[in-house]
Amino acid sequence: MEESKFQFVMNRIGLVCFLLFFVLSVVMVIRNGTFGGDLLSDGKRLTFAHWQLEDGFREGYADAIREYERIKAQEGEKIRVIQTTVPVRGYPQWFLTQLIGGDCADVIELSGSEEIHNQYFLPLSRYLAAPNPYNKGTPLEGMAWRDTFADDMVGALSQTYSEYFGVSTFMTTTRMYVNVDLYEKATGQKKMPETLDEWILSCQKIQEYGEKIGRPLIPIGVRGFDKGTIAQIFTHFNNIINADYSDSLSDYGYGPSIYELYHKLAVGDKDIDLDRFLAPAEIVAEIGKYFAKGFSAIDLEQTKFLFNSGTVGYFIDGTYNAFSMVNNSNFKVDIIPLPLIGPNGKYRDLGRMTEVGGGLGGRFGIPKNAKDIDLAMDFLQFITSYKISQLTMVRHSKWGSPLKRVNYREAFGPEISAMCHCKNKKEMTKKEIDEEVTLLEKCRPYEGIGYTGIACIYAIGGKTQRDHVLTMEDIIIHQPENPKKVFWNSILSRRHDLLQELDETIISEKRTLWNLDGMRATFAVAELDTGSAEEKKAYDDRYKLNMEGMTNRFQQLDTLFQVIEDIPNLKEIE
Amino acid sequence: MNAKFLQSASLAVCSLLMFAPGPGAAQEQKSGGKKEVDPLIQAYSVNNYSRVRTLGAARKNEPLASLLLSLTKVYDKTLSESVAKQGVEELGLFYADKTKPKNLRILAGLSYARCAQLMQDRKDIYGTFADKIEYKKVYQDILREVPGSKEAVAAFLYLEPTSEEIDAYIKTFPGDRQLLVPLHLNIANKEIRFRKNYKSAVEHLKAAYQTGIVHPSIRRSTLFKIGYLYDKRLNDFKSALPFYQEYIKIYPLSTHAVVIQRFIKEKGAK
Repeated sequence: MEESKFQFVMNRIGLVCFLLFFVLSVVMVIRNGTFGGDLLSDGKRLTFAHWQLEDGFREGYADAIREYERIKAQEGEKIRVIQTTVPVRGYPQWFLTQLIGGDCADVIELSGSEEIHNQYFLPLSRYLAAPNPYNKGTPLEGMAWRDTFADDMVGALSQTYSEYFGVSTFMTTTRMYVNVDLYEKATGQKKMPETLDEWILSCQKIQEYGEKIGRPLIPIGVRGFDKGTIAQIFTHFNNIINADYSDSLSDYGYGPSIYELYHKLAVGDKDIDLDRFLAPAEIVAEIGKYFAKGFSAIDLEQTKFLFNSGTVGYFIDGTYNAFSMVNNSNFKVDIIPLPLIGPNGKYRDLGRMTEVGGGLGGRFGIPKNAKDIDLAMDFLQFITSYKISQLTMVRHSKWGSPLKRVNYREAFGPEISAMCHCKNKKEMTKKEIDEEVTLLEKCRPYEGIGYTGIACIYAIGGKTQRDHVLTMEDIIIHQPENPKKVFWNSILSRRHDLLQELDETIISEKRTLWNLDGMRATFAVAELDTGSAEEKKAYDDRYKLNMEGMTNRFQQLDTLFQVIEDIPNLKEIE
Repeated sequence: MNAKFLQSASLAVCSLLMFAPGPGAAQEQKSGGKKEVDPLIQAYSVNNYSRVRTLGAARKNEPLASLLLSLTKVYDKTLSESVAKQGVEELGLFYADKTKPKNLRILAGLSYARCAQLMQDRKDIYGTFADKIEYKKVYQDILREVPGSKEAVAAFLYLEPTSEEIDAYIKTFPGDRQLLVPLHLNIANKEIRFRKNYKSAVEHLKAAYQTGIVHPSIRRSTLFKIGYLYDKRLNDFKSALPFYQEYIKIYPLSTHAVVIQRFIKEKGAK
């Protein structure tokens, strides 16, 4: 059939449109892809991706990027940095697809396993040994980049691959958010609860106040769905009651592992008191009386909504939520630590645990096939420098900085303010600054009096551990007469599952030994031919580091075999 | 006319695509400035096993390529157990072939023996495949052939020696003393676990620390452990104090520095 004139014209228009869009797509792919800005713009282009969608995070990095581009322009280099964010739910899949696709962001927040990091990310150890040039003129000047982090990057080291693949950008800890208006109305006092008894009493009063005004109030809002709050409260009181066992219980050094703890219980060591390790179960059962009805089905977002709507008295969560909890509530919010036990008489109280050097997160790394590794490294050093961390984390996000020597007030000083371009950020009154610094100080890690956290009695196994938290949930709901007995006997009733899990752990440890030997061979092969003496030394170090790390695995395997023998000997409470 | 138009359009698009480099291009350009490294070794050193297979296939008659192809079969976790078994067999043959370069033979032998040892411990997967491999004999051969090497130390560690054997080995080891750190750490654990001999454990930890532990977290925990064992297990606070002080000096803002300050305060020292 012959085409009409109209059809002819339409077909040609269609073809031209198709070609135009195809060419446009090719141009866009090249522009956003490997070529970066080199081909189609007059400068270099760097991409930076993460999943942190919390208030202030992106804005902070937008300002940091602006500052970076300014500095580079002064140095005569035109750089454009593009920030990309992907919601956390889809991030792991997106991250992996980007890596496999070979066209990943140049600086990207790490997700996934050590294997993935080793396969796709640049080893950072040789860069970490040198100072971060962007720390010049700050309290961190001259320190090796690794040593500028509060934990000296101990947590960032891959034990299997003897390497660092990412550096941390923030620090968080746990605090309790209080609806001050509700608290004051219900209790008739301004002083926040400091002890367990005061806390429980205030919860009773909030409950009574709700009945009085005819509104169902929730004294303690919880992350029931993921069981986060139960574990947080249990851990907190377990530490306060039992942390001093860290001084004496382990044969190997400070702080026993959960396996050593079970071993001591199984052999009937007189230096360990099971009742003390079960005391937190009793406390959580008591506190649980003030959770919402049906708390186990309430998730984080629902609890935040309930808190912001004024229905919840206390909400326990990470300091990463501090800013949004304060800003999104139309009532006064205070941030306090979880109460101590105080002069209660029934339980010991060792005071606040030290939080120094813990809670570091948000690790960013550089893919091996980044377009310009030197530039990506320069940017990574820039965003983890003292001043930029003050800008991004402290000033904008109101999160803790992962670095040593953080000065919150300095983050609101003229130097950092000059980098701020967000609305209402540049010009702050003294009162506003004081308020923000006060908020941040409340989230500052506690130094404590010298005790650190200790393993909870249920923290053994993987799935069985989650089952034990469910038991705790059940105890809260049913309030048995002796929660300690119910909890311990329930732990022991899952012996069979636990032993199976420990067998799996042993298999996994054996696999790790195989992998460690694989890495030993890798470093030995790499040393056969290296590009420079520096590279040879780096491989030699990694070889030694790998072998040293292996001794930890031998010890771990020994304790695992031991605990498998021990578990059948543990006795139920009659 | 239509055909001509389409032809020129496709040519234009193809030429544009031809000039666009692939994702690996930028990486390849960066290698300038340093001594050229054998690409096969380079690929193996970053565990890029698929590239090792590609490059190795073209050079499979070379001893290095042959070794790396066998190591890949053994250590690439994406491959099946039967391939790993095949790799172990190949490593065994490589090691036995005295015409191969000695350094490569030793590498093959150590991996062969270690994998056989670990396979014997995983009968659930490998059955009796490795039962006849005398891995201890291979380790002993390596110890004899290259006594001062890092392979010799690894072979010795894999032999699971007793504390006495480690002590004797350390005394006569002719190579880089830093290689002995894992042995010191291992013996310290054994002394505590089997004998509660804290004095000996602390001596070995001190030796490891003074020789120079490379692993940052082990170096740090060992320093604390020395002070702790002196203080809490040997009741010798005086000997513990210098180690505590050194820890606080090196890691002033760490969690354990706060703990150590409490220990020191409890003893009334400064």
